[in-house]
Amino acid sequence: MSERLFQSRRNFLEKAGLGCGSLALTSLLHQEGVIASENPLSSGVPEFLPKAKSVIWLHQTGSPSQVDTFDYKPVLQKRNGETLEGADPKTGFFTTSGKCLGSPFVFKQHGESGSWVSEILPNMARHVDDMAFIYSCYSKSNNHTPAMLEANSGMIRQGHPSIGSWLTYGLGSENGNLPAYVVMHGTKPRGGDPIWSSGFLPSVYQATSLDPRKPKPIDNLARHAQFDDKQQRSLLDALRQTNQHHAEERPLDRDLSARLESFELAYRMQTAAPEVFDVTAEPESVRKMYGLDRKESKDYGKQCLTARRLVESGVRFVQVFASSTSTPGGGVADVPWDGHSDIKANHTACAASMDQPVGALLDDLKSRGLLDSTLVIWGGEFGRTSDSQGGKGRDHNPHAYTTWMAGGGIKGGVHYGASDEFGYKAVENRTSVHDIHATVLHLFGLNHEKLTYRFNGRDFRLTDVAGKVIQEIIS
Amino acid sequence: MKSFPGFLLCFLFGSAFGQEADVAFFESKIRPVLAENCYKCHSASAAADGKLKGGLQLDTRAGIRKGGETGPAVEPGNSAESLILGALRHESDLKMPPKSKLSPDIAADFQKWIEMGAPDPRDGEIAEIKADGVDIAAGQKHWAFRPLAKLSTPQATDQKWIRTDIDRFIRARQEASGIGANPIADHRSLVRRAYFDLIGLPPTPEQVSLFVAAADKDFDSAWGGLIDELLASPHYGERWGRHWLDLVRFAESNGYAFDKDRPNAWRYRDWVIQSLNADMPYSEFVRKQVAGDIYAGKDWDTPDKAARALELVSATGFIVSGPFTTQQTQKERERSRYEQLDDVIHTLGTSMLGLTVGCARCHDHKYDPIGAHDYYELAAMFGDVGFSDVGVDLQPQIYRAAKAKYDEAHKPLVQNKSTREAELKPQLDAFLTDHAKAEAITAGPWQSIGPFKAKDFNVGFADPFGPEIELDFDPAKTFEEGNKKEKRAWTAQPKWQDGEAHNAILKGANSVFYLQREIVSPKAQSVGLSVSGNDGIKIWVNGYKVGEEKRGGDAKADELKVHLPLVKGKNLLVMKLANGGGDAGFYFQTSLEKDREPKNVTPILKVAPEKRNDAQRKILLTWFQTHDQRWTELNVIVTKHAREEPKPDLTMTYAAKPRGTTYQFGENTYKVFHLHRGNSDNKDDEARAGFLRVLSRTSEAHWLGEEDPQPDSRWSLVKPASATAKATTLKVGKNGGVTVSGEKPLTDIYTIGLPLPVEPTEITALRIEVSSAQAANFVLSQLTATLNGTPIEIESALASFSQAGFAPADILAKTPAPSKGWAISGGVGKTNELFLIFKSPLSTGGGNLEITMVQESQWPQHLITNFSFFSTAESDVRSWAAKPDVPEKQDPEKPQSREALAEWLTDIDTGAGPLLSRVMANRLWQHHFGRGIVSTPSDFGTRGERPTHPELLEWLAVEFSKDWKLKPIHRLIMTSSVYLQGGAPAVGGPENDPENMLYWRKSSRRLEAEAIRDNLLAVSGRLDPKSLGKGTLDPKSPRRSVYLTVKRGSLIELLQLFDAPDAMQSIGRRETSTVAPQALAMLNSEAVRNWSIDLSKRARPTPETKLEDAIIAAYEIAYGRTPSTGELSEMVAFVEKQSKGRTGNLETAFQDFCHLLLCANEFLYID
Repeated sequence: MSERLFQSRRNFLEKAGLGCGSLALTSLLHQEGVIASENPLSSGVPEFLPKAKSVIWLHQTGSPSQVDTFDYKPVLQKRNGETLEGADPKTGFFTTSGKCLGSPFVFKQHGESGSWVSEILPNMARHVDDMAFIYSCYSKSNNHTPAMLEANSGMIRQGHPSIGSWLTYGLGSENGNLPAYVVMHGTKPRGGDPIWSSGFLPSVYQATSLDPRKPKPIDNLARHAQFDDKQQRSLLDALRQTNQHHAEERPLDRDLSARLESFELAYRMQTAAPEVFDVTAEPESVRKMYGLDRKESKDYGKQCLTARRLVESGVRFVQVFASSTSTPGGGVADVPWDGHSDIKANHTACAASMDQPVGALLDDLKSRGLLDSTLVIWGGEFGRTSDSQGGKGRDHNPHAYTTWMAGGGIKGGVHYGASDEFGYKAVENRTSVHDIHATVLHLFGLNHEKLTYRFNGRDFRLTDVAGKVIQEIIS
Repeated sequence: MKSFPGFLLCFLFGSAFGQEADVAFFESKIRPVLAENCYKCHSASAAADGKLKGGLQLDTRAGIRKGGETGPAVEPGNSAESLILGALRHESDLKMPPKSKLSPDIAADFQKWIEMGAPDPRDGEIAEIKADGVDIAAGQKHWAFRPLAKLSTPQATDQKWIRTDIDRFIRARQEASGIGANPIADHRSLVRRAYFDLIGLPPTPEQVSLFVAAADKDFDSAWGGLIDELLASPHYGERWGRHWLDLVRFAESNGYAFDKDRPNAWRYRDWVIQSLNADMPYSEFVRKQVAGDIYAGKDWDTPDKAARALELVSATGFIVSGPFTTQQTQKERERSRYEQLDDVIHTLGTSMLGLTVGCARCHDHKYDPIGAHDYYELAAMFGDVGFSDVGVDLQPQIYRAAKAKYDEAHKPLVQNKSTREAELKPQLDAFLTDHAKAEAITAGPWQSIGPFKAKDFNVGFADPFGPEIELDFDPAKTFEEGNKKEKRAWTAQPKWQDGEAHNAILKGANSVFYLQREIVSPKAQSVGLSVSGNDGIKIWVNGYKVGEEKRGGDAKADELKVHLPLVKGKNLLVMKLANGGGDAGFYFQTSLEKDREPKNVTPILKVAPEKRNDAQRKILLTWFQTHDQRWTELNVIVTKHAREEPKPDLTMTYAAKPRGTTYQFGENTYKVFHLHRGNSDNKDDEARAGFLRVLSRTSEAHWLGEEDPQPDSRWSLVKPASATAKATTLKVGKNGGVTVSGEKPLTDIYTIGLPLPVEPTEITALRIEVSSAQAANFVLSQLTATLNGTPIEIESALASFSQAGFAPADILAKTPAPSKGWAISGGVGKTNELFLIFKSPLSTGGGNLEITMVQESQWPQHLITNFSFFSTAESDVRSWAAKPDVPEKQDPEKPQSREALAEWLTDIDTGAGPLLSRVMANRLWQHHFGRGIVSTPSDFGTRGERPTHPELLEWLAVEFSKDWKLKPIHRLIMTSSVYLQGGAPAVGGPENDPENMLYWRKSSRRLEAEAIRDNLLAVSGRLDPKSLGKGTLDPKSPRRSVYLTVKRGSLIELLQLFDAPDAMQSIGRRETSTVAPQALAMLNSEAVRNWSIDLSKRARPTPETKLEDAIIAAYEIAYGRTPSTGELSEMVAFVEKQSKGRTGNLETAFQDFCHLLLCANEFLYID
C-alpha cells in the first residue's frame, strides 16, 4: 500500500500542525502501517528532556486506606468512635457508620523528611526520603472497575487507551526484542483486560499481560515442539525467500516487507523474553531480598523482581497489580486491599505480601543506578473511609487517597497536598488522576496536551480536557 | 429553525453600593486582577470573539454574580460558596487561571472582598450569549449535509476501459491527470479477490479452475455469474455482517467487572447476517435496528406474528450492544445512565450518519453544526429504553391450548375450595370465641416403619406402600415386603426429639418410610408445623393430607410450613418419607397457635366484633380457614395443581425494551435532561425528543410538530380525596402523593379514596407509584376496592419489582391472580409500580374509588407518589412505551418516538437520508478497495477527509438510495474496470498521483482477522460451514470466526492479534498492524501447526504421493495457483533439507513446508 505512505505524511503534517510537533513521528507513521522496514515500536522522540526512561507502577488493587498507611491523622485516632462530622454514609459501596475509626496501627516518623509511615510498612519506610507523597488524590468513582479504568485511562468508561499504551504510542520501546508495555498480575484485577486496553489506539500499543506464576508467562513464545532452532531457522530462511519473491512482484505494496521483519523480531524475542522472565537467573541473595523465600511475599516479590529485570532490559512501562494469596477482612483475590469488614486483618496481610518486595525493588534499583531513570508509583484506585464500616472495616472513599512516586525525576521527601484532619477528603492541592497522568507524561518528556490521537473525528488525549503537571514533586 | 430563548438575559440591578473604601478596595485589588488574568476568556469582548469560556463573564457585576455554567462565581458575603475562590486557589476542579496559579495573597484579597459583600461598582449588562452558537444554515452548506444532487456521468474518451458508469467518473479523473489505464487482473487473481471480498473464504482449486475455464471463453458472463453466485451464498452475510458488527460494537457480554454474559445476544448477530443475505433494503435495516421493538407491537398470537416479533425485537440489538456494568454504587447510577445513552447516540451517529454526535455532549460540537441541545434531544429519543432479555413464544397456540386445558382442570378445584369456604363462613364467630382459649398440645413418641423398596424416588413418592395401601396405622400391624419374604413392623423411636434435624437415620436408597404419632389437643385448633423430609414428604392428620413436598438434600428447619388442623382430643399424624439416593431423614416442629397468630390478625381481634369492616372480616375468615382440615386438604390440592400451570415456551433474545433494565435511580430514570458539560449533577430542563437540525431540511414542523404519532394519553393523574390509616399518619401532599410517616406499627390498614373523573371514561386499571423512603420491604396481605361503597372485583394485579425494570405493556400479556403477600422490594429512591386491573370497567361520571391495603409486615416509610387511572379503550401500545409518565398537562409537541427517528433517519427528502446513503455507499466502496472515497468513513463532518471523488460518491449515493439494496451496488462496483484492474503501475500513475488517490492500480490488502482464521480453517479442510445459531468461546471451534462469542473480557487471542475490534466503540476502519506477536502465533502456536498438518494431509494424502505433486496440490489449495518452476524446485529443496534435519522424516518436513505456506504473505494478502 505504497500510496498510504504519502497519505499518512499528509495526515501526519496535519496532526503536527495541531500541535503534535515531532512527537510520535515514528509511531504515527507506523500506526498507518507505512514505515515498512522498521519496527513500529522503535523509540520515538520526546518533546522536551525526559527525566524518566521507564516506569514501574505498583497498583494496589482494591485500594489501601490512606489513614492506615501514610496519611497519619492524630485527630482521627483521638476521636475514635465519635461522630465524624459531615460524613456521608453513602460515600462508599455500602453504608458506613459515620463514626470515626482510628487506625489500629502505630505510626512513626521516618527519614530526614520525617514522613509518617504505619508500622505495617517497615521496608517502604526506609525509603521515604526518595518518595514524594501526594496526600490529596481523589477519583471520580467509588466503585472498583470504573475507578481502575480511571486510574489507568483517565476515563471511567471502557474503550479508552491506558497510560501505558499512550506512553508506548508517544515514545515507542527501548528494546526491539521485548514488548514495550508489560502488565503483571496474579488473579486478574477487577475489570480485567479492559483496564490496560489500548482502546482506540492501534493494537501495536497494547499491553502484554501475563501471570508470572504460570510456567509460560507469554503466549507462543516457546518454539513449537516440532522444531529445533536449526529447523526453525531454516524455515524462516525459506519463508524470507518466498516473501521476497512475492514482494518483488508487488513493488508498490511496501508493507509486505514489514511483515517479513516481524518474523525476524519474533525469532529474536523467543530468546530474549524468556531470559528476562527467568528470575532463577538471579542470585539466591537477591531472590531472598525480594521475599521469594516467604510464602506471603513470594508472588509479589517475583513480580517486583521481574519488573526490575524488564526495566533493565529497556521495557518502557511495567505495571504490577497486587494480588494476594491471603485476603482476610473483606478483600478477595481480585481486589485484595478491599478491607470492608476488618481493616486491621486485611491490611496486615496485604502489607505482608508487598512491603518487603517493594522495599527491595527500591533498594535494588538504587544500587544498580536505575532509580534515577525509573519512576516508581505506588497507590490504589481510591482511598478508604475514615468512618467505619461495620465496626472494624473501611468502605471505598473516592474523596481522598495517597499515592507516592519515587525515582525517575521525582523530588524525594516531598509532602504534597493534604487531606482534612480525618483523612476523609482531600482539601489542599487536590490532585486528580489527570494531574497524575499529566505529571507522568511530563517526566517522560511528553506534553499531555499535545499527545493526541484522532479517533472518530476527535483528537483524544490521555488527560481529556484537564490535567496539570505537579511541578512541586519534580526534581 | 427553532429558537432558544432561554438565555437572553437582561438584568436590572439593585444599586446598593458599599462605602467608598470598599469600592476603592475593589478598584485597587480586584479589578486589575480580573482584567489582567480573566477578561481574555470571560468578558463581553471574549463573547463577541467567540472565545468566551464556560459561559462566564467577569467584566460586569451582573456577570460575576450570575456566573457561568457551574453557577455564580461570587456569593457576596459567603466566600465558602463563591466558586471563584476555589478556582483561584486551584483547589476545585476548575483551576483558574489554568496555566498559572495566582499568588495566595491575591486569593486572600478576593476572600476579603467577598466577605465585604463583594462591592462592585461596575454597571452594564451581560453580553448576550446565544445558548446555542451553532449556525445551522451555514452548517448545512457542508458538502455532506446537502441534499443529494443528481449528477450526469462525465465524459471519458477511453471507451474501451469503461465498463460501468463508475468507470466514467474514475477514468475522467485519470485522463485529466495524464494517467493511463490499467488492464484487468488475471483470472486467477480475480476469482480469489471476489471470494475473499464477498464471502471471506478462499475458492477451492476446483472453483478456481471452473471459473478460469469459463472466463477464458466469455469473461463477462463468467464474472457476472460468479458475482451472482457469491452474493447468493449464505456466507455473504457472514462476511459483510461482520463489517456492520464492527460499527455497532457488537458483543455478547456486559464488560466491566464480572463481564456478565448475554447468552441471547447472538440473535442480533444472526439478524444482521440474515438481513444482509436477504438483501434487506438498508433503510429497512436501519429502521428496524432503531425501532424494531416498537414495530413488533404486542400482538404475537400466531406463529407468524411471533416469528416476526422475534425478528423485529432482535434487530434492536443495535441499541443494546454497548457495555453495561452490573456492579454499581448508587452514586454512579445516574451518571452511568447518561454514559449508556451516550454510547447509543455516539454509535448511532458514527455508524449510520458518519457524524461525531458524541462530541456535543459537553458543549456545542466544536466543528460540526451540532449543538449540545441537539445531542440531548437525540438522546431523549432513547430515554425510555432499557436493556433486557425479551421472550417470544414462537408457538403461542400450544401454550394457549395447554393453558385452556389447565384452566379447565383447575376451575373445579378452586370451586371445591370456595364451596368449603362458604360452608365455613357461619362458623367464624364460634371459632373466634374458642380461639381466645388456646391450650398446649401433647404429642406421643414417634413410631416408624420401613424401608419399603420402590423402583425409584418418584414412584416411591407417588405410590402407596404398606400401611398406606391398607390404610391401617395400628402400631401392632405388620406388612409384607420384598416378594413377601420380609416383614415390616412399627418401631417406637422415643429418642427422636422435635425441633432437631434427624438426618441419615433411616437407611435405604429408593425406599419409603412411614412415621406416625398421636397428638392430643385440648380443643379444636390449628397449630403450625415446620417440617422437612429427605427427599420427599407427605403429611396427613386424621386421614386428611395437609402437606406434601419434593426436594433433595438434608432435612432442615423451616422448609415446609403447613397448618396442622387438630380436633379436640386424639389426633393421628402420619408422615411418609420417600427417599432417593443416600439415607432418609426429617425435621418436625410444631408451634402453638397463639405464637403464630398472623401479624395482620392480632390488631383486628382487638377491634370490637361489631366494629369490624368487611375487609377485616375477610382477613379473619381467611385465617380461620386454615384451621379446617377439609379446607386445608382442598387448599393443598389447589396449590399442588397450580404448580402444573403451563408456561409459555419463550425464545429469548437480547434487545431494547421500553422501560427495561437500566441503572435505576428513581423517577428520572427514564427521562433525559439537558446537562451542563455532560454532568448529570448539573441538570437543566428535561430534554424533549428531537432530531439533528442540520439534517432536517424542510420546516422542522414536519419532524417535530405536524404529525404526532402518539394518541392521547390513557393515563390521568388523580389526587386522593381522602386517606386514612389506623396507627400511622397519612398525609396527602401537594403532588398528589401520600406520605406514610410516624410510628411504624407492624400491621396497619390504609384506605385511600380517589375521585373518579367526571368525564365519561372507561377506567379499567389503576396504577399506584410507590417510592421507598427506606430500604425495606412493603408487603400487602390484602387489597380490596369499593366504588361508592360497593365492593368491586380486582381481576389481576402486577407490581414492578424495581430491579427487573417493568414495562407497563406486560399487563396486556400477563394476568396473574391478585394475591396476598405482594412484596415490593425496598430501595431508597426507587419507584415501584402497582397495577390493579379491574374485572369490569368502572362506569364513571364521578364517584369515589376506595382502595384498602392491609400490610402484613413492617411498613417502612413510603411515599405513595402517584395514582393514575388507565383505560384500555384507546389501546395503542406505543403510548405505553413512550409515555409512561405523563404530566398533568401534556406537551402535544413532544413526539417521543423512536419510530419517528427511524423515519427521519431514512427520509431522503427532508431527513437524514442523503447522509445515511452517502455514508453507507462509502462503506461499500471502502470494503472493496481498502479505502473509502471518504477515507474517514465514520466522520463525514467538517473535520473528516473530503471525498477524493465527490461526484462519484454522490452518484453512488443516489443509485443506492433508489431502493437501498446493497447487492446491486456490489455488482456495480465489482463489474467496473476500476475493481477488476491489476496491481501493476499504470502509465503516469506513480509520477502524477503517487498516493493512488485516482485508483490507477488495485493494491493488495491484508485479510482481516476473521478472514485469516477462516482461511486457515478452510485450507486445512477443517471449516464447518454451518450458518447461524449460538456461538462458542472456544477458539478451536471449526466454525467461522463470526460465530465465535464476543466476550468483552475474554476476546479471542488470534483475532485480537490481527486487529479485531475490542467491541467498546464503533469501528469504521480497522487498523492493519504488523507486529511480532502475530509472527509468534503463526510460527509457534499449536493451532497453526495443527492446521499445517491438516493441510499437509490434504496435499499429500499418502506417503506414496510424489513430493512435486504434493507441493503443487498445497499451492493450489492455499493460494489458488500452481507454483512456478522456480518455486517448485526451491520448495522441493526446502522439504529435503528439513527432512535431512529430521532424520529423514519426510512427513514432518512436508508439514514444515505447509506451515511455511500459511505463514507467507501470499496467504494473508489478497491482490
